[in-house]
Amino acid sequence: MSLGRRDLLKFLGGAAAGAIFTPVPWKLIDDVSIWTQNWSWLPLVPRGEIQSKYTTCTLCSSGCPVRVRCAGAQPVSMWGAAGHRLCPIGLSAHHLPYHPGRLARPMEHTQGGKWQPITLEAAVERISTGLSGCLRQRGSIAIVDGRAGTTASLLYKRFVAQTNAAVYIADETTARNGIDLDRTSTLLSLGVPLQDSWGEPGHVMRLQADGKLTVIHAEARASATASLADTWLPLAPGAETAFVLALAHVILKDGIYDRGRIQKAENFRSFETLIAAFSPERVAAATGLAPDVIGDVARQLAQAGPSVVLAESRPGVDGADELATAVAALNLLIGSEGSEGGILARPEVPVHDSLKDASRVPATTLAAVPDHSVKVLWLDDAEIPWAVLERKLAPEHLVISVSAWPTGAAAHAGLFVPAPLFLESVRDAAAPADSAAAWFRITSPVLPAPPESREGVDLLSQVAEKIGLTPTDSLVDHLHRRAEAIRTAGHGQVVSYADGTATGIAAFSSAEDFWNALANGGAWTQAASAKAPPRLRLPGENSSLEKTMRTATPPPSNPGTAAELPLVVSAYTGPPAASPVLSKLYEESGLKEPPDTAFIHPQTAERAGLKPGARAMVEAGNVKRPVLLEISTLVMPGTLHVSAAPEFHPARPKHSIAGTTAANGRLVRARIWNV
Amino acid sequence: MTKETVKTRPARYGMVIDLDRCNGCGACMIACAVENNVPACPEGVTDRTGITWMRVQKLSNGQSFPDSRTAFIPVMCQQCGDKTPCVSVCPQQAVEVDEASGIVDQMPQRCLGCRYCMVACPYHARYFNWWDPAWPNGMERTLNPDVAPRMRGVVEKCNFCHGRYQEARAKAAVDGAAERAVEYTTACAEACPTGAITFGDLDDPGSEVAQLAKSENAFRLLEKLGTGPKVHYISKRAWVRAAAGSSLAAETREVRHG
Amino acid sequence: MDRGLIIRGVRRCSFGRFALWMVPWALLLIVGCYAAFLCLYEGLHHTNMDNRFAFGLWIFLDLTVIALGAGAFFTGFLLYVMKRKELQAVINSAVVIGFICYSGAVAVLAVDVGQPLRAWFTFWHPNTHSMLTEVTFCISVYLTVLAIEYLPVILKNRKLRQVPSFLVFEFQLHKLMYVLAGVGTFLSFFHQGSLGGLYGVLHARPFVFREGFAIWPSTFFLFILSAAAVGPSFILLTTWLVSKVTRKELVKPAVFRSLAHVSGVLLIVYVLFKSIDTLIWINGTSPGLGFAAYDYYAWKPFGTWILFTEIIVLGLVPALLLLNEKRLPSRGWLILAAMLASSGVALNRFVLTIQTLALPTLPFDQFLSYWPSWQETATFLAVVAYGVLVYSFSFRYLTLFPQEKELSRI
Repeated sequence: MSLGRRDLLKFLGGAAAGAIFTPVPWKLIDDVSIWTQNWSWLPLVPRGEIQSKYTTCTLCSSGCPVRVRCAGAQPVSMWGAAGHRLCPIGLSAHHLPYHPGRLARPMEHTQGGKWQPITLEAAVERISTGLSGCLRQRGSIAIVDGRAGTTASLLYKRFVAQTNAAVYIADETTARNGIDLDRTSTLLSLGVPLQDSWGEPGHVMRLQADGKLTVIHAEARASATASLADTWLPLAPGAETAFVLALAHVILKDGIYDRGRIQKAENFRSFETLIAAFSPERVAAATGLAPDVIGDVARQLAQAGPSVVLAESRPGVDGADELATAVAALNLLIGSEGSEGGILARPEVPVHDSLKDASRVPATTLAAVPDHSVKVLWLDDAEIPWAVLERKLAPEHLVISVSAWPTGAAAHAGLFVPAPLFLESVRDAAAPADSAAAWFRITSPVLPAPPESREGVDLLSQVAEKIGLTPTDSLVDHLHRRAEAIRTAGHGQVVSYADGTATGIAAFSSAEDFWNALANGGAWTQAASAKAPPRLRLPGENSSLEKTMRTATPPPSNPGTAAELPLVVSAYTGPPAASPVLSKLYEESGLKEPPDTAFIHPQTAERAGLKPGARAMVEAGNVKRPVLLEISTLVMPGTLHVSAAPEFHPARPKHSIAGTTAANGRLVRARIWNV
Repeated sequence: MTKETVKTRPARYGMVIDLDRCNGCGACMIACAVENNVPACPEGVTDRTGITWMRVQKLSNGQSFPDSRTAFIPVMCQQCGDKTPCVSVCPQQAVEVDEASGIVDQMPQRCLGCRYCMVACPYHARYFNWWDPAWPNGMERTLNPDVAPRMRGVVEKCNFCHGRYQEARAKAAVDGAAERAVEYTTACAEACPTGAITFGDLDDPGSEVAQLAKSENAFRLLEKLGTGPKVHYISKRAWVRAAAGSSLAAETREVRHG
Repeated sequence: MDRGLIIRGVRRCSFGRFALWMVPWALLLIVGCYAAFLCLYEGLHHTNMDNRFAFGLWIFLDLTVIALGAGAFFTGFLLYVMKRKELQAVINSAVVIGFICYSGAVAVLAVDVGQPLRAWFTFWHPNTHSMLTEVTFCISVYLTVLAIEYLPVILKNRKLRQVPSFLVFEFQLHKLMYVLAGVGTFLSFFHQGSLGGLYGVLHARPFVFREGFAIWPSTFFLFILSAAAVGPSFILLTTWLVSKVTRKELVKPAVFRSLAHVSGVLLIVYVLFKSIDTLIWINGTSPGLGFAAYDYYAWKPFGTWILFTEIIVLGLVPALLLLNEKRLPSRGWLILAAMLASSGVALNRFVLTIQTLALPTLPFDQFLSYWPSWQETATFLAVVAYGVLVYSFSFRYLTLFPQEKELSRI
């Protein structure tokens, strides 16, 4: 039999037709579909033994206990430990080292305003030159510490004590005092986002749900905190101080306070006279609250104690000091200072002898620093509006920022030195606002820090050596020493993160034991005790509060022309950056207000002829920013609300209106128009 | 007036979410995304094309300032127990209800991406991969090793943390425990800072989740459709129940007379 | 240049002119193929569909095209089964149109699904409870039937007839035509129905859910009826259009009237059942699931006008016009009626696909709108272009209208 070309073709044709009835082509199609999808487009998951590591979250001052789930050495998820739960940013903190906006190299601002990478040596050199130039000028160096009350703070203070040219700026309120929240019955919050980035995650809500805490919240917007408060007071923006003084007025008038103690306070008579002007009837118009509502709140605070009044702190903002003074006076009046369930002085965390002197160096407030006096400004994770800082700078200045994120004020720095992130460093956590206990909690590294990153204090020590000052040992050494000082002092106990058990400090026989207990997941803590303050002082007639009545004016019922409105900036206190996955989830769910969005009541928008859903410009003080204008029935008519949020996208424009306008006053008038 | 007892098929796992405890922080969403390797967004993703197995939505009482109020409601796959709408429509059996757990499973490797199940689902709990999954450079190192990332062109959704369930089953098998004794919890329930989410065995009358599901303020989404969702919601606030469309018998009266 | 290919006895324009006509359509096809390539290669984010609008322009137009393509099966049914011999005049054209509609729809579906390479999974792991499985099975088989029906039309080409074995093959196929028409009719009835069932079974989507008989919701039958009603209208419309474009009489006026009459009868029946179905749905089905029907129409722009338009303006009105085909003053009215009827079926498919997805289900949902992206539009236009190209070739080289020769002699 001879085979021709035709036969071959026939055979091939038959084979092809027959193959269709075999699984081969179909299996191939399936495999191709899998290959095309796996191939370079589909990431592979990490492999390695699954294990848990315990550490302390240092993203904010809450210092939550964390269980890091690792595959091999790689963290793959974060969970709260010892009965604590984490906030969304903490839950995704293991993404942060890979955040595209993270800067891991020292940078310098060029003349053109662009970032340019430099070596660490060059950065140290430049800082040294900057510092040595003004070592003889008192107050020409300012160090702003974003994590007051930590061991690093003591090292900054030590530097300040050495030079005389430097001032140490930090808000030490929380480091010194804490709220004994677990025993508080009534909490009045003035715009504090209790349900959102304040205190330990879920703390307030759990106390409320368990019926232990009643929350009264005053805010010009039906925020989450307002909606979940037991009582929400739609307080007009700018009238907070007047409102607080009116509460004091009712309490004094009704005599519902501890007369024996309070009447002995310094300035009592003068305070009484001052307060007389703030009757609920007189402040009603400015606050937008009916006199009997103010009366009820005052009586609830005085009688349903222990009560605490809480206002958000806004460093450097006009009017913030008056509000703080008034709130302090009211807290005094309702007996929350130094009493159980109130505001307690935090026990001191023992300090090693080598830093005892440094610990006595006082912190300065930014307000106390004269304008245009600072030649070298050192920012360590400081979240202060740039406009506030800018005012303090001399014409010739150098701003150094030590942080992982070139956002907020850090965006304006002349020099940027990267700091290691949480999970990359050894640090101690600052003290939490919603607990009055003393804490010493350290985080231990799970991932390596970028080679050119430095802790702020370690960098400063390197610089100090260069300019002829005594360098300090590293932060890690000082943390070890402090742990030993705590152990030898012999107070308090260690709570283990792995199982939540508490062990008395006496059980730790060696420094190493104690350190390991902390570094492998443990918190040293010492409970605060109620102790009345030795001397009570009330603000008198001559205090800054006197002008409050004049400045508190009701919001305009008719905004008139193309919207000149009182600007309210929503409060946000939290880490400056979040995981890109979290940003995505927030954007897609619309759960958090996106930054650079202005909200206005539909009536106000209509009356002012503003077009919602469109781009608009907001001008407040000397800042002009484009925003997206949205209408919302949650905001008070006649006001303009601008959202402040963490810089989810560090690539976005650096200073938001929320940060800058705060400088121009607690209540600024903003002009808004469509573009 | 007493409410009828909740009727579901032998269901096993279910969830109760206390809306009065939800402050809209979003911890459940990120815990879910981290657990289940939900990708970070590529450029151009929107609220309508992004993947959020768990999405916390806002409820409004519809009033204007100062009577306006906001509440939050986490919505994910409701794990329908009766006539599960997405199961019967799938042309190639990529969706099935697991007999043992009652969980509605989506098999991405079987999915054709026709999206008929998404049309069938009234809860909008199903998400399609409009993009290739992408993470910022290096971040794929943080993926959960227990869950495979999905490819472009397939549908995915909440599966009550299937990876965790499998792990718990494997553990129970090693310990010689019965299938009914498999206990685990979902990532969202583990993460919720206020304890608003309770997860457990609905068939066990003594379990916390079964007790809560029977409470008089408990309701389910679109109950009248008869899909028997196994996610229950609780709120003492009448407006929250109304805004979430609760069809409690007591509710309709309240709304009518209120 | 292509003289040898053109059928004897009819006149066709010059090849140059023909090429000029084809160029823009070919360009459109190329642009559409590029758009489809983007969707296939980079992902469906090139469309404006989203998690709520999981179906969009493509599914809406697929359903419409398949309904209009029903003209093929129904004309076949009338000709071969009901023995309406006058329809022999349009059957070839109807088959080509049916083939174009179905193959085009399948091509678009291949772009529409996220993993087209897994399309065969439906045959390997079929879910017999899914209407989509039924649709997939029927459409793939029916497309094959259409291809076989198309074959003899092609084989009748002057040049191809010169191959003797083709001639024998064609002759054998012809004997099969009655069987194929029967099978095609059955398959078509079934998948048209299943396409309707696709929506009717969605018991958790009260806007489209319908009760019915046994496992089939009422939309199953309504889809069959509407497709059968509109199919002849569409054949009428396309025949008229081709005759306008080519400036030739292609069929005798009686054919037009016959198509119109069939269309009218079925349409009036459809309108009747559709109205009953709508009333049952408004008063029973929808409220039973907790949704008051009037709420759906509170969302602008989808007011009750859409229901009125669908049933009266694009249903009852063309039905009455078509039924009175003998009394209409001019053919223009007939064409208008056929257009209205065809638009009616398109509107029905639009309502089921787009309005369903735009409407909120959860009380805290939003009403959403959707507009197709250029990639979606271009991909679909490519199918139109493909249709025009295939039809133009067929018209030029094959016998689509047997009466043309006779009419051109007059």
